[in-house]
Amino acid sequence: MSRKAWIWVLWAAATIGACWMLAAWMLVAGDRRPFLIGETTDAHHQFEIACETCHAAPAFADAAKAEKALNKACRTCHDKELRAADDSHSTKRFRSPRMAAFREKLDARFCTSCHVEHRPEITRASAVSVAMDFCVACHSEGEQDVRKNRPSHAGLGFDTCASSGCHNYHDNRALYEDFLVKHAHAEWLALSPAHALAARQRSRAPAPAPEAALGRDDAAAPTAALGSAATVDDWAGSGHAAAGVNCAACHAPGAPGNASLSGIEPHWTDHPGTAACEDCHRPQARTFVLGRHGMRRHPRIAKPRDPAKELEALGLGDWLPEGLLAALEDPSPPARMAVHEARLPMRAEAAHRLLDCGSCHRPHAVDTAFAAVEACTSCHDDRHTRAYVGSPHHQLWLAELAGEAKPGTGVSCATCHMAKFKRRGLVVTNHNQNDILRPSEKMIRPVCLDCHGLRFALDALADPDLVERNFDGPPTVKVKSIDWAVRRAAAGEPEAGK
Amino acid sequence: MAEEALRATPRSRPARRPRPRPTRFLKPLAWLSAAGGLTAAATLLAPRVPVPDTFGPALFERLWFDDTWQQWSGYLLLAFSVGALLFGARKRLRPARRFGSYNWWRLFHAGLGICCVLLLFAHTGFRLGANLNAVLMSCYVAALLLGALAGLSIAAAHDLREMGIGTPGRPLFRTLIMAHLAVLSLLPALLIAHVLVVYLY
Repeated sequence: MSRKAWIWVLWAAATIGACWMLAAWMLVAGDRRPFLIGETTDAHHQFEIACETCHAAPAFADAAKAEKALNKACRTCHDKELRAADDSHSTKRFRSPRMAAFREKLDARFCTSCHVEHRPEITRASAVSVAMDFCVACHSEGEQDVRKNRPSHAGLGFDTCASSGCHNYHDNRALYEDFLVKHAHAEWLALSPAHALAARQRSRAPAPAPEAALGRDDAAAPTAALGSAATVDDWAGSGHAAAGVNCAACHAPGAPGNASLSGIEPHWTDHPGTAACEDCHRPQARTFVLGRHGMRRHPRIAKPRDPAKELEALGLGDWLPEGLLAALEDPSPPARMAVHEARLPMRAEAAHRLLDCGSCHRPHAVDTAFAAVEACTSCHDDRHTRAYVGSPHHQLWLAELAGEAKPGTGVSCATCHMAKFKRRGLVVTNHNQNDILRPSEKMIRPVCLDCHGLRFALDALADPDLVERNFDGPPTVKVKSIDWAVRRAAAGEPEAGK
Repeated sequence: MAEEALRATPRSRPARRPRPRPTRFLKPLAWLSAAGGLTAAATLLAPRVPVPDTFGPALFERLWFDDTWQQWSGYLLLAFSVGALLFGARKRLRPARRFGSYNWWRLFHAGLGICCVLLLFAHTGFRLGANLNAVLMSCYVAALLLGALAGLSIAAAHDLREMGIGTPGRPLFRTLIMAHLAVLSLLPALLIAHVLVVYLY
């Protein structure tokens, strides 16, 4: 064979081999990040390694089926949140034949019409991938023309609908007209400002020391594992010790309840996982996996593919040689988020930290005051966080900690970002710190209104510089929606609903 | 006899070399190559055409971010690329030689190269992409640039030789063509992977 023929043969073999490997990589197993067409958005990048979490349709499914599966995946995680928000533009609403004309402009039945993933260039705030004046699609003509329905809106651009503090696409619980009118005349600060649920939680009298309450000398752990005296002191002063939770409850969960020290020892682990916390703190654990701190543990994140099963599904049981099959393996998504993976500014010295319960709650002291502020500021390094220290909210927090102010009057990071809720008569802290983060108006009802008037809260949240400065003064932005709503109500115009 | 001998002597004398026929289409080839090279370089150097920030049917946004439009521009690009590869078939398939001279095919090849650059712009909008797409795009642009440089060096082969660049046995264009082919050889596997990714995810 001539030299040229050899080159052709070698090239063909190399090309076929490369295609074969690339196809196996994509269809059977392997790290698929090299195939990503663009950067994944801020939240989703944490599990981009597990493509099937979103791309749930079978391989080579037709486009309609693939889109349906993709949108179903969105709703798997976000449906509850949208229901709770009383979604103003629910997909259900757009399924009606009456909405056909609107669907042609922007098909709001699908999340992916506005939120396309892996397209950083067209991804705007809140992962919106259409131009931010998208309201123009449906609200610029016919019955829905806001400029006709609302004389006050006549000269407004559609790019201001969502950016002015007036409207959100999904969550308008704090922005609909009735609500605005109802709270129109509230003072900027309540007479006795305090967070009702926080006050209830913090003012709860400590339960009378049960017989099971433990002290420093009761710490039951193998001598080698007992650690420093400070560790034992931390535990002895914690709620765990007060509730009779001894070392073995977390460090030797497999040991029988009344096991002696020798019975504990075989089950002992120096570094118990989060499962030890989850056993008792279920509502907190359930909400933790919904936020960006803990979403790597979300149960709906796809598990690594099983190469043998994937081949079987493709009808190619023996397609790959055994040795090659063993070499192909999906990388397991890490169980915990690392600080250095965050896309917000973080402290360099915190880069190595992994996020789990113990990252914020020092595991032995379980000090919620530390978790509410210092835990946040020890990692986050953005202007808003840095400005918190010394801000009016921080002063209130320090006063409450010092016992100089009533419970619930202090404002910590957790007060605003981890709103509390009631569950079976108990006040529980929502550990999904992203639940009410964006759009920021979501924060108004569960947090701001406890202390501030709606007008003040709307203005403050619409002032980006003030947010950055962590509310160190009065807002300079004025949201007009309350005045307009009051004027409409006074004129007896029909209320437009939520 | 002597006369006959004299007549015979010219046979033993070295034959006079025929005057080389000028290669046809060199000027258009130079122009097409220069244009192709510049547009391919623009893919790397020109700033991205920004996406409009107002809602509505914008041509560029559809071209670069709408799946259906991208599919069409992608398949058109593939078709033109395969068309350009036919230039190589002329050399190997005798019947193909009936359809025009080598010079004409070469010019046609350069023209298709320019079409490929334009279609590449329609498909990507000067965006290099990420990961696999970035590798594919880099290879494609490199192939176009090397092709354009090869075209230019063919058109200027005589001048280059006078300048001492390349030798009669190893002219510069041959090196550039080899590099053009080497980069092209990577494209089939990368293209197949690119199409697979599009249809799988």
